[in-house]
Amino acid sequence: MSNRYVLVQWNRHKKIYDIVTLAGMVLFLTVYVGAGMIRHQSPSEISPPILLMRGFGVLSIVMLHIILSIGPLARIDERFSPLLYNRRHLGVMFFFAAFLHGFLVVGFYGGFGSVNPLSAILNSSGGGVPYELLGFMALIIFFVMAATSHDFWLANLGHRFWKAMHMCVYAAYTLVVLHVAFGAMQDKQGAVTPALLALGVVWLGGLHITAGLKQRKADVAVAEADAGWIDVCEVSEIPTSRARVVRQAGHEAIAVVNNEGTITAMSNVCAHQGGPLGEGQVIDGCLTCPWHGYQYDPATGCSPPPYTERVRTYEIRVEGGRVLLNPEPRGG
Amino acid sequence: MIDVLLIVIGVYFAIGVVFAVVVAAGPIKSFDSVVADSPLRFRFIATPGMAALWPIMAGKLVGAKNTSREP
Repeated sequence: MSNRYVLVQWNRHKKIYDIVTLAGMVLFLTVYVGAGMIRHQSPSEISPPILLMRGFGVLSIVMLHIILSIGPLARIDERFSPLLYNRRHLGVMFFFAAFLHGFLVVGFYGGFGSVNPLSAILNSSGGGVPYELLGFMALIIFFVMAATSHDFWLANLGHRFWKAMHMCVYAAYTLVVLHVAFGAMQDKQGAVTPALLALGVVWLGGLHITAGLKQRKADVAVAEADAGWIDVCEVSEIPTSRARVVRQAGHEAIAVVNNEGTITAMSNVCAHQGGPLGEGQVIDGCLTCPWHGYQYDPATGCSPPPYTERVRTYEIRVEGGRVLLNPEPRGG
Repeated sequence: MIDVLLIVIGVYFAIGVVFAVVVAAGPIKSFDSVVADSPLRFRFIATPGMAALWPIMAGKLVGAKNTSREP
């Protein structure tokens, strides 16, 4: 939560998250380069700089798949939810891995000639598909995303624009898949790389479809009760300290919260980054966003002082054990 | 073709870097008052994004100046 910007809002969870991520990256590179050096004993086959360059490339793709898997995994099984928290740091670290891959490629393959190294690399496809250019374009998108991951950007670009811009990760992912696929084909690397890549695409596609189907099933199928009120569900169907999400055409998604038996309703969209509040839980009396821990009083929709974030709230009636919701926000 | 693209991207980011450094040094506060209460080193982290999105930020800067001139 923020009433001033800081470089990084460190806490214990973030530190552990970052240390584990960095250690994982170093371990991955060490194993990749070490195994490569054992496999290619002669430096004339594949030299250590090429192994490192490839290592950063493979590491980037693995990290990108992990990043894109976290969202749907958390929807499918809430035990993955802690991974959502601090996903931004993971994204920035991924960008640096991808950047180092590109930097090493440009430096190693284009750094010893008389022309601009970047131009030399991007013009080197020799009539084939310019897969280097696809990777370069993806890297630019990842740079913009990493550079605008701070809350300052969310506040100044607006939530909708920021979210739309960061959804470009899927466009960049497509560019990366094409970059690797065409690169592997043109370098005649065999079937292993395209097969692993296809597996990754199928994995991500399957996860997103599964998560979407699960969410659709979990969301309350709304039925109008009277005068526009929505019959949500039985009170007992909302677990204590949790919420159920109500979606109705023409209205924003609403989280119906059970706070120790008191049923209230608020927007499902966190004021910070649009996280799914209904997938969070009540901690210290506040509904807590699963993405970055922003908190809201279920009764007022306000963040606890000194924070100033606020989300819309909705009227609730409980009649005969059933929860009824007015989908028009309080105060219009 | 690729060389032209590189020149365009290079010029865009060169303008962006100059813009970002200048705006981070002071005018950033005019369109986001929260920056005034934030540590100076925060501006360092905002600079790359401003270099990338400088046309949008330039628009915000102009908008903020016009608003401050209104009686």
